Amino acid sequence: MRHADRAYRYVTTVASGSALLFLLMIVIVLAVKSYPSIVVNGLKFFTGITWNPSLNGELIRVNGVPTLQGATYGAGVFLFGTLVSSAIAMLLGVPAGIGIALFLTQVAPQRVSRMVSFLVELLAGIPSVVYGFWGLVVLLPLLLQVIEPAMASLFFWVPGLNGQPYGAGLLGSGIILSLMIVPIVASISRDVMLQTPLELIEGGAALGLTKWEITRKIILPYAKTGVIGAVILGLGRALGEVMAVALVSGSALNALPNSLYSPINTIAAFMAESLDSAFTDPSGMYVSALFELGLLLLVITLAVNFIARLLIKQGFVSKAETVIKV
Amino acid sequence: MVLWLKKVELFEKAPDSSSAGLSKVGLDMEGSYPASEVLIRISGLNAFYGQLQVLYDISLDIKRKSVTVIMGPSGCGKSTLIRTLNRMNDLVPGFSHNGRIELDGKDIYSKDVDPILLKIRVGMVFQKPNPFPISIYENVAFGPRIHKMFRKKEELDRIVENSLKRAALWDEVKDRLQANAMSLSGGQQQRLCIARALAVQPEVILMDEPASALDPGSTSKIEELIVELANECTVVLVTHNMQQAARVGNEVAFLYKGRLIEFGESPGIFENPRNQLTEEYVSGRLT
Ligand SMILES: Nc1ncnc2c1ncn2[C@@H]1O[C@H](COP(=O)(O)OP(=O)(O)O)[C@@H](O)[C@H]1O
Ligand SMILES: [Mg+2]
Repeated sequence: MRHADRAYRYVTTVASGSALLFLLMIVIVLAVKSYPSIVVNGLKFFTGITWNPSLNGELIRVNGVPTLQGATYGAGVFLFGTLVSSAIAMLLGVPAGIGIALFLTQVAPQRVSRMVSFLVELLAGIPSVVYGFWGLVVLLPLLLQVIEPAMASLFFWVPGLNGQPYGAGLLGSGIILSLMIVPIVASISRDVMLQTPLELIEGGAALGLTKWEITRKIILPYAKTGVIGAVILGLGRALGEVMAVALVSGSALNALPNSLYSPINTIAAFMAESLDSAFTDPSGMYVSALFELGLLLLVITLAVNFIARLLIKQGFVSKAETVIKV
Repeated sequence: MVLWLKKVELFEKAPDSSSAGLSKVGLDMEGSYPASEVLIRISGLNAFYGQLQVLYDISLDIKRKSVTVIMGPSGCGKSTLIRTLNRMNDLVPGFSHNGRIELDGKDIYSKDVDPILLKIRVGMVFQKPNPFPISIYENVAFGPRIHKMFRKKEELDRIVENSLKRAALWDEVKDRLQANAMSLSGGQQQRLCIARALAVQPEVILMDEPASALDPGSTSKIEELIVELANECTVVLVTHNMQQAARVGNEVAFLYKGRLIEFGESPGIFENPRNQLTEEYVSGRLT
């Protein structure tokens, strides 16, 4: 038994240690590979919106680092596209996901709940390329011909909403991403809501709380931490999504969207799209710039996780948990 | 008072001419109830979980301002019975019943009774202490807040203080009302749950084995409290502990395999049981 215990501890320690090691390796590789780009492009990398590898330029050196004459790397378009499309996805997907979880746990009769839960799990398992194809043949035409024109004429007085319909673009990407995170948010939220101890629910019911009051005063505060975790997981998925976005984003280059409907591009999608041509750059700067994009995405994701942790630890959440204000 | 209005409403919806119950159920405690001795009348109650029948033809009168104990071995249907009295069983999927349960002469399962208002009149304390993971103060204030039973913060403070005093917990927590309820001991948590139930001024308090998860010291505190509470409201206590039944009960019902075997005053029912099964149970030969 004691041998087994020792082996158990050893194996699990190595396993978790290797996860840490792997993360470290990724960071190191990203940092080393993006170093030339960081040196040459500096802060312009984050503020500039022009991405021109200038593949026919002459091989030169800047600060001792080889690059091509005339090459400019500004990730602004991708940064903006990533953040805003994910924000739209959260805006649409989080309420929907939490709403579905509430329906499944609080409203639906057991049979319906079981069936819908199964469907939600199925949705979570659909490969993103399938979402992308669906977006391409169903969503984008719908956006182009119906939704975007309708929104544009309805909100003709709102800048950003009154632009030219495109189909492929910011709105489409946001919607596709939201569809992808809804099952994540819904199924995790559902699980944590189901974990609310029955004693607490009965305690509330015995005090004469209505079903809705029980949901609001007992179940939601109880599940809050888990729901935030689910939201972060969904956001992680949205920020890093490649395939679905690549198919519906419109692959904008060198131009920020001028409305909700304009083409965009995201960091992850652009990285995957351009790796091939990047290898044709003899100076290696293009590849390095792509690695810097990867580093940027990693930093964004880690920052999101970190902020979420702070929220859970100190901010609203734990306070709300100790004082559920009625 | 809002609460008072709500309680009136519970009755006024019904064209029942029973004059019982309305004279004084406001927020202050020295209310006097009408003369009629019986507050809850259970008649011909059968209860089922799906196809499984767990209560058979129970008829039982519960007197005002006394402690009625429902005792019996585990699984005999005590919880099921007590949970029909405030309609907690409405939540349980598959539960059904027939027969009649009257509170002050009014059928509590009739369509025009609001189960929410019923739960304000009939409070409940559970086997496992179940305080909310919030402050001690907010636990007690929970019901009054939900049902808007006060106008000013001071009134709420007073309700909280009174309830904690009635639950014999005030002295132990008055200096740390903002501490999380989960920091209390098991016995204190249970008394907090009693205070929480008392805060909405129920006429009846249902207690389902409130001390079975507690140590002997906490148990005797709860028992003293139960006796004390019966001066002001009606207590229905479920226990599988016969000694406890004997110590606190005014009337004792013995339930066995879903049937009411015997119902009588304490200590008579222990000293001279009329039924063979009761006799075996009180002498410890039946479990
Ligand atoms: N939710 C439920 N679904 C099905 N059967 C139940 C449920 N609750 C209790 N029972 C059954 O009903 C019977 C009485 O249970 P209960 O009222 O809890 O007894 P006691 O409180 O006296 O221990 C038991 O046989 C128990 O298994
Ligand atoms: Mg029980």
